[in-house]
Amino acid sequence: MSFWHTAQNLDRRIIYVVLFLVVTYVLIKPIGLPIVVNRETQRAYDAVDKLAAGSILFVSADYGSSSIPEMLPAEKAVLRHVFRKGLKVIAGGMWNEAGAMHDLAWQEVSKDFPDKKYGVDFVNVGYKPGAGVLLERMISDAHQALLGIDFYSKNFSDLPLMGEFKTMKDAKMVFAFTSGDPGEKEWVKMVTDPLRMPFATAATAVAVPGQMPLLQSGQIIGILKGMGGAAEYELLVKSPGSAIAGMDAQSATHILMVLFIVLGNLGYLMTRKQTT
Amino acid sequence: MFAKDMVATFWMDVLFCAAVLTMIARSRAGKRIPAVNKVVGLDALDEAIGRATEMGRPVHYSPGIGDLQNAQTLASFSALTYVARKCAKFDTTIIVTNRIPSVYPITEEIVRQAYVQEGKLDRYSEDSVVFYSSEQFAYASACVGMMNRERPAANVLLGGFWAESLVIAEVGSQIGAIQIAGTANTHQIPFFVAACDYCLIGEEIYAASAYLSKDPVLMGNLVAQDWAKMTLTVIVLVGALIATVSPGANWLATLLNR
Amino acid sequence: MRREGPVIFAAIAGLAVIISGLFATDALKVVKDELDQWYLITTAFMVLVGLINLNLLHVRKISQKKEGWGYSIVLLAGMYFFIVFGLMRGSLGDAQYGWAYNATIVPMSATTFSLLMFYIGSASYRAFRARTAEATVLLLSAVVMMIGVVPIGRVIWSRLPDITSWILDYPNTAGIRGIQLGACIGGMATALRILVGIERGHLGGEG
Repeated sequence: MSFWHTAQNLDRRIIYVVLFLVVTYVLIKPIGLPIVVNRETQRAYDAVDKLAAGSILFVSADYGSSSIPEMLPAEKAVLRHVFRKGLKVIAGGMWNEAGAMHDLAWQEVSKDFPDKKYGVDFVNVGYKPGAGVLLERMISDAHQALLGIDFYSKNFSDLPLMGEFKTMKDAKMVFAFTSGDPGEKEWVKMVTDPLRMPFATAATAVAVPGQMPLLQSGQIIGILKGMGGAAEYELLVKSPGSAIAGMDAQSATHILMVLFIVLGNLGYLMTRKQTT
Repeated sequence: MFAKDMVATFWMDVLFCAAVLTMIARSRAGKRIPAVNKVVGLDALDEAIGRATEMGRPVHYSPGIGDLQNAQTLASFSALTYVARKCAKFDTTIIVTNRIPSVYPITEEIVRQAYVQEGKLDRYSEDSVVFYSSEQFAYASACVGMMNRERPAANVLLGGFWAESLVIAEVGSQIGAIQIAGTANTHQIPFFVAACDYCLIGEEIYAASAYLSKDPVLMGNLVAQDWAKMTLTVIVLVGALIATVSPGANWLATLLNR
Repeated sequence: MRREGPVIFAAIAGLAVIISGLFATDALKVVKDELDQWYLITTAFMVLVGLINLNLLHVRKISQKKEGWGYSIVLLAGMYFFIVFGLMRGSLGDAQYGWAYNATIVPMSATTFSLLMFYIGSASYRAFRARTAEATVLLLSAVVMMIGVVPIGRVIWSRLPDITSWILDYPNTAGIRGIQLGACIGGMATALRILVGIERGHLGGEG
């Protein structure tokens, strides 16, 4: 069997092993490739930066534990930015792991902001069922829609920040971390378009192309595109984290996949040439 | 009278419904309706079921992981009806896997009815339709395990799919199954194109009920859909022209946003 | 009536929701809100249906000692552990329940999701072949996108990220818009067919 025939019919296990080895090596020994902030990330950052101190930002975790590597670093970076600006955060979501994701982010970020208090600067209302129906109800009565208790089963009456947040109209902006449905479409349809509210997202890389029409129409101000967007935001808030650390591995993986694709195509073309 | 910004939406809905009802009336009156293009993926269903029958291996069908609110899941039921009847007719084992508990009783009833209509209720097995888990990747893992054990010769994935799509499709490719996939979720279409033999893109899955049944009423409905698309295309072209020739003029956008 | 009843109910409920969305009517809004509540409650009860099916399937597998019946025991044990523990502790906000969840479900979900890296590698290698002109265009745009979106793309060629942005902003967005418009119309047509009772696939075996 010729080399080119083998090249176009590589055993997939070889691909898996090589991928694993390269990713592991680069994670252990990073290269330090420069990261440049793109305009969509900058727009999202500027939108948060423009908010006045004391404004309420609604942060929505519409992702599950499988998307943690892309979404959680983005959420932590955004929270750092928000706390530095003196903004307040109501954290909820349409996915059933929303509360858990916010809890992970808050537990880590709050260590760097000891002056920020739960219930005063940040409230995790967790997941409540209903998706688009939930969002629609939050426009008229957020407390009733959110069932009056937070993720830790505390009553809203015990949380001072909830006294300032009675409906979605009390929030100045929505920042959604989305990895599927329900996600940004529900936010645009039910809340941000009707209320003409600024809306930014952090999306998993595969979901980004689907959000581009909303970005171009101005219904989304800015998008953090996957782990790259999270890394750029970490750069903007000057708090390097796991997203920046993972970008070298992502670069290496993409290059390796391209090399395999090129090898496969060379094998195909050379074999076809030999046959003709 | 109208809710905020709903005037244009109302009139467009009325026009669309009028087009659909007109085509339904024409079809019922026996009048000629335009022919529909071939949808290669749907034509391949017979080939896939035939292959599974010859090899004596099952057909795996997944209606996706969307819930009943999702139009893709509803569209998938039509294709499942067709596939289940063919499998019942040719005594081919069918395995329908479900992620959503509310979808499971419907798929179960569809498959059971298919066997009843073919007069083979005794051949129907309760293990044909299973609910695995509401958790996305638990469902994907269960599908992968089932596919490795049962080695289906045909893998039909029609409905709303998300990140688990490539896991299921790639394992289907590894076991050598013929794969027909379709979803309207734009972020998963590339994965299906890469991993499957046939891929229905976007609204092609909504054509399944009409295309497979060849029912004139449903075919008429399909034509009305195409009229609506053509109308939207014209509006887009007009808007693009206006934006190019006179960038400040936004009367069309204002009209559509009323 | 067994077939007509659900069709009539679907039509009335669907029309009530549509009209309450299009017109500013308080009366229909009350109906819609009530239907929303019914939907949420029914969906929650459907979880019970899934639970019962899982039990039947795996208990039958264990009793008949079918292949892999040991895994069925693990599944049922895990399922009932989380049900009982969750009922005792309340929610994910509880520290101990949260720990159990974070120690099991989270890493397992992340692990299965991570398989995608390997699968996309093998799928890309297999699928992106320059067999036809269209396949070549697909191949070239995929290669440009894959390199352009990561930091090494800018190192290889400083203009590559700009080309990637152009592909994302123009051809991609145009294609996505077209597919989404078509899919929306298809969804509307499907919904209309269900409302007028032509499509009955969801009732089991017809349409």
